[in-house]
Amino acid sequence: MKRLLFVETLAIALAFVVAACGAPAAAPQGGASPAKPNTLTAVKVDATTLDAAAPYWAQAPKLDVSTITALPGKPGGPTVSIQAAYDGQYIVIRSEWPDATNTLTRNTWTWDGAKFTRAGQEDFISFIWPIGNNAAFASKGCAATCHNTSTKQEEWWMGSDSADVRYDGWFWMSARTNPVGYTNDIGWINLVDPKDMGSPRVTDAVESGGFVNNTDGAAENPSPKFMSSKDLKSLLLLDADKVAFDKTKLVAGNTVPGFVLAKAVGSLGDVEANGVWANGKWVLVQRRLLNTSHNDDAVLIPSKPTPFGIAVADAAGDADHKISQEVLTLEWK
Amino acid sequence: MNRIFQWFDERTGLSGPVRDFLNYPVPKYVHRNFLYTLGGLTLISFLIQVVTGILMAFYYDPSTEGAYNSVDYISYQLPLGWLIRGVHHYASSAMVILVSLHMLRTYYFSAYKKPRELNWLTGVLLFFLVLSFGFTGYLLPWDQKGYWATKVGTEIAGSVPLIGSFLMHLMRGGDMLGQATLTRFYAGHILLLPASVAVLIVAHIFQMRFHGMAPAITKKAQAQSKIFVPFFPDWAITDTLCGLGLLALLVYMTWANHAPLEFPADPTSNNYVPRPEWYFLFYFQLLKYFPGALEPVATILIPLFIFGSMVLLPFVDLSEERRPWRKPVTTLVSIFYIIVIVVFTILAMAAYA
Repeated sequence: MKRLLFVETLAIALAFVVAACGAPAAAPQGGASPAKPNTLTAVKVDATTLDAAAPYWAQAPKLDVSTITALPGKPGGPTVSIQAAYDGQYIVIRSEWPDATNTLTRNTWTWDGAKFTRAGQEDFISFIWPIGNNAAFASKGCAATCHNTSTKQEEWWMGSDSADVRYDGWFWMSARTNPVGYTNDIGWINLVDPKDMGSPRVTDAVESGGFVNNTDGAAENPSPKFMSSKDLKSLLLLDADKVAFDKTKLVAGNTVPGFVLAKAVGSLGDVEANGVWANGKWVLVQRRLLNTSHNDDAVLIPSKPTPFGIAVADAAGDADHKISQEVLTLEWK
Repeated sequence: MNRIFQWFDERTGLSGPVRDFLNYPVPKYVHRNFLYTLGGLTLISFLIQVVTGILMAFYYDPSTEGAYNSVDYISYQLPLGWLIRGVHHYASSAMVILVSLHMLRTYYFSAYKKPRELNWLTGVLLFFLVLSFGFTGYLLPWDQKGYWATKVGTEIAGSVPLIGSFLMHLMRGGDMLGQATLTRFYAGHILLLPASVAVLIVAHIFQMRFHGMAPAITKKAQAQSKIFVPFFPDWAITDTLCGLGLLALLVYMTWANHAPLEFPADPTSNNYVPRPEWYFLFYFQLLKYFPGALEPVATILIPLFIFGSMVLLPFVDLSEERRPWRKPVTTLVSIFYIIVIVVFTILAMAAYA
């Protein structure tokens, strides 16, 4: 009987211990599939790189994020597969999503022999991270910030509703930042002008570099300010290659890049990027310090779950981007 | 050193009581049975809670605006804060497990019988106070889990007939969960409950010392019942070693899985599924079987019946028999409850998985 009591007691104790450990022990155990819905599990590696084919990606669980449109009557977006890894200093995120075209024509100038017209969008993906603890974002995701429940675009506030609430954004663009290997590190702050959807968006501090609008700024018949000294047919214009614009070198139908590109130095350029388009899909790897020490950036602490959201666009402006419907959570393994 | 001790003793007279306390004779059959360390381990886990709780109180901000950030700071930025909070977190579960096992040992060994009724009653009160610790502590991080579990928990209290509304307002400090609720739960968790538990522990130990250990139930133990060892150092060493083992286990569990902290509470959230701490899961499962008009059965009748049964046990079971294998009714009833609790807990865990 005593033995029976002992075994019974032990069994109960074991059951309770298992119960106590149950929830946390359910953490992702690796492999290629996510253990929890909407959860991106970052795996610990010795050293992170911008290599999309690094061996450790085989061990990083993949989170497939379906994206929806915030506009009525528009189709949903692609499914974005995300993986994450981190070392002692950096977090690196690998994103992969289908996109039929590699779009590099953002506000590209086209010369018709008499005047210029500007047109073109680009592909982009953006990550949004709350700076500090943010109950509303953690609970409602992007609906708590850029997108409220309204389907009317003019009623979106595209920012936070409080001066205390700020967001960190990693805004990767196929035409303006990817060619020079960085992600525009921006932020969303309190809504400044309710009529201006872009008013809460601010770029992080920059020491040098970044993309610059390639225009002479003329009120009437504006034209490019620079052109390439190397390749007049290129859709990209690097700062190192730019020379003063010379209209005489163009013939009708020629294009001039809409922006002058240089890698950003400073908080604006915190997020390195290596995006490659091939075979109808983008594969992008982004890397940033876990803690940049910049007060306009979210601090990512390994072991601390962090909510985030994504948006993606295919040759579209800000208004027609597709967003992750659910709150996504970054966890650490 | 001796002169300092003598000077102190002349003014306090403590040496006598302390000597008596340390020399208290413990039957050898008790000293050799690990089941008798469960009470001491429960006390040790309470002390661990007191120490880790005090350390966290230096950094905790008991306001709805600051609570989450302060717990976040303790968990992720304060050096070794994760360890302190983790040990506190797991020790709360350990305390529930240990006090439950301690009560089961007391129950199966019939140690509640005359003249130890009051000791059993203080134990029953301590058991429910330990559960109250868990309930009040759950809210303090002001995260989603604590907020919604407390909302549901106070709503359950609110569904009690006649006094439900009063109970809910008493717990919440108003109609809604807010600063008043947090203040009340915090005050209860760090002042009222520890003080109550401390007083009851002293009474419990005093009663235990006064009556001595309950008679042994096996012949082998009975044969050793006249052989004693002193509390200090013999049993104290055993308890200390077991306590260190418990602490090591808690540290390991913390290291393996840090104490969880969910996202900050969002009262406007409409998709969060509330779930309680694991030791209340069986009760949440029970509630599912009594929907609508039947709810008072689960919220008032069953808890009252269980509490009443525990209180009345020593006054109902008046037989001289102490061996559980000769008391099929009490033994089978307890096994039934254990099975129900374990099964309901597993069902609830599966539902929340």
